[in-house]
Amino acid sequence: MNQSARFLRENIEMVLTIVIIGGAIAFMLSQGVRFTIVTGTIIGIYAILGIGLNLVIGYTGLLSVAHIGFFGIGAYTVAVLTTDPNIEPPKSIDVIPAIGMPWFAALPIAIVLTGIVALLAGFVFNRFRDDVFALTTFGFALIALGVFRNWLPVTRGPFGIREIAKPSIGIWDFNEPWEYLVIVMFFLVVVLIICWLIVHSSFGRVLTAIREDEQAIEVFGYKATYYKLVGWVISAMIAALAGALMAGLIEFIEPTSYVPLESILIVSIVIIGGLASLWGSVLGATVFVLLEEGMRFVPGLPVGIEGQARWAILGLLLIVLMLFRPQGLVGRYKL
Amino acid sequence: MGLVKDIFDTVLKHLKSITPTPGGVAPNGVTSPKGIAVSGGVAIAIGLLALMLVLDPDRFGQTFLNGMTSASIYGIMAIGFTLQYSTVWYFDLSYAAMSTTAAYTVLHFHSSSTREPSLVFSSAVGILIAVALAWTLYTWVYPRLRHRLPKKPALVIGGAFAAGIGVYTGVLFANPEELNVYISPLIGVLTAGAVIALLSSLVHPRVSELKSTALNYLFVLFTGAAAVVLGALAGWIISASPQANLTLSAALGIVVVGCISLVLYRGIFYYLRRRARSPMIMLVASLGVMIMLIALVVIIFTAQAHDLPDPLGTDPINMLGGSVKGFRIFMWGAVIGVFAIVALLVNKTKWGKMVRAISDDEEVAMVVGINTSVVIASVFFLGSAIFGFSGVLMGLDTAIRPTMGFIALLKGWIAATIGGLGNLRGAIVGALFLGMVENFGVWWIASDWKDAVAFIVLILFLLFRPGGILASKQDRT
Repeated sequence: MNQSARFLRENIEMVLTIVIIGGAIAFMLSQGVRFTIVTGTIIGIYAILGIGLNLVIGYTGLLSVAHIGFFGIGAYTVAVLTTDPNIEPPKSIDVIPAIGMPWFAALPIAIVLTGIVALLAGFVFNRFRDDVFALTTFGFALIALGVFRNWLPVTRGPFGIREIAKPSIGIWDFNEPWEYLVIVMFFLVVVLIICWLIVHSSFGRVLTAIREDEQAIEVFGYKATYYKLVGWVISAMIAALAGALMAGLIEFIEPTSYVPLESILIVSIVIIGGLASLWGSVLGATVFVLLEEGMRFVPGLPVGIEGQARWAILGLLLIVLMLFRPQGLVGRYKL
Repeated sequence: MGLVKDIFDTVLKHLKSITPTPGGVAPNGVTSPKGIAVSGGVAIAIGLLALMLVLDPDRFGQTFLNGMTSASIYGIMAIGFTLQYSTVWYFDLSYAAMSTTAAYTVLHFHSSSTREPSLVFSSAVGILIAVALAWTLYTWVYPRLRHRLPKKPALVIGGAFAAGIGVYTGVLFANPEELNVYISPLIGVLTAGAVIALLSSLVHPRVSELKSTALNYLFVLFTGAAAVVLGALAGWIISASPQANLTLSAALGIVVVGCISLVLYRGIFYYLRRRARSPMIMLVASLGVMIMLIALVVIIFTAQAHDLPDPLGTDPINMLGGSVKGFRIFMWGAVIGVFAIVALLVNKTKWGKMVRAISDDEEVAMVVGINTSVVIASVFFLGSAIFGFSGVLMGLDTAIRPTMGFIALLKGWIAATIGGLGNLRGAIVGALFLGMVENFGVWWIASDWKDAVAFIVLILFLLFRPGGILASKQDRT
């Protein structure tokens, strides 16, 4: 066999990583520093979301479509708690209570609240597996969307919330885009470390064992239900963190950002990047965000169909991956 | 390793025999806590229904009619889903795109005044049809003729035929205004073929019994004449009636999605099924297909909702204190028709026997000489045609939008699951139940919650009666 071909095959994951990260950095820098900062922030947020979701999909082997709901709950909790009394809302829409909490105080509340919701939902979803699990969690995403859309006194329904405060510590206001990038990267590193510790602990090994054979691990005396539930709640809390960061970044949320179909995009981050690989989720988020941004630079593409072209390419990517590389780009586990 | 696994299995069996499984029904049925909860829930539901009837009988009637309409769509979806799922045993999301695509095909033949029919689009459809037809001929017809015909001419004729039909379809799609004119030759040929097939299968045996050469010649002459006359008549009627365009485009849309499904099966799912480790891989791959097809539909037709004409007029028919469009009554009939056709096909024909054999055990079916890939391909064709039909019905009833197929497919799946998976009667019962629950469940809350109600019903069923309404005794665990 050809030497270089063998090298490529044996180190395919490293090669893919270098190509994607290098390509991403080159592309972002070619578009200017500001573009790099904004895109990097979004990539960071999606990477946090993907890493959390990977705990459930990759390590526990449950295809959850519910995480857009947790993402939304985190975002909405922060949004509602940080509504700034100083910002005058437009006249014609409902009045919602202005609490005016600082962002960093609202964050733990959002995470804990999402954890409680996930715990309650988890008691139900724990009984299902495989495709039934995937489709019932889709139902959770649908119900969450219904709450965002219809709980008018709190979420203001389809009008959305505009008065979200930026994070700030003491006198340091994170107003500049690069400062926000710093926060996101800080949380990304924290989440990476936490998840790395989880995955490499005995707890993480039990999760992996559940994925491989749930009955066998129960015979050894582990309560699979309990482990699945804890993994699920941690994953939902990480999703809430990502949601809170997203709310702080965009400073405006509305229910259409949390429709269940968006969940499919998040799931594809995990699947494209690689199942049971934390680093893979970062790669997946990079591919995912740059696919959307990169669409604008494809020559000859009619204006206004970039979003749809991204969906089409994402679908094609999923099909090709399932055919030739079911573990994702750098994954360790085949779906 | 085998020994270790055997020990595990024995231990598990032992454990199961001493502790009741959490999802099971206690042997003494109703007196278990779960039984009490279920009967209590049913009693409360009946009480609420009675309260609604007393409070507002007219609204009750209208809600019932709406429930019937939802149920008919879900029923067709559930039948298609059951047919597909119980053959290949994985959840195929790409069918959601099938119903969308069929509805948008109908739209294509009705929006030409606002949208220039694109050459690229028409040729793409033509190529698709040609590929599907060529593949069908090559795998289904060619093996049967292989020993009677020389190889090369058979392939050339088959290829030319497929290409010709492809070009013809392209022409049809390029001239959406004159669909009835361009399709009339096809209708004529089909009618003539049907006449010949009917006469030769029903009448010819009687004639040949008489053993009279003259009569035989006369019969052939008569058959030919009848075929030509009736075919020409049918073609002429179609070409002179532009109002038939709606029905024709619906039929065309259904055939087109069937062909898309054939190509997808041969191109993707056939290979995936041979090496897939779990149904999840198929789920994700079909998800990819779905989002790709829906994105293509949006790129071609834009994402906003479109209206299709009302085929049976807009005059409402008053009944049960409410009113209902004529077309909705047609939909109620359509679901019964689809059910009857599929049930007959599956239970009474040789094809149905093969499908049931594959459903039981694909490998054994292959061993006893069933061409499984061809039979599964035909199931894909029929299943997606059913989904296409339901998409067309949905589009004609309300408006069409690109995401309509996805939620409807999930509802079809919910209906099939709560009725009893893999069971055609269960699909109908589940659809009726789901349609009613969904519409009566939002009596006191905003109708936005319909989808949420459907999923809550599903989860309750999965928790308390996983086998569905029509589950047999041993399925209930």
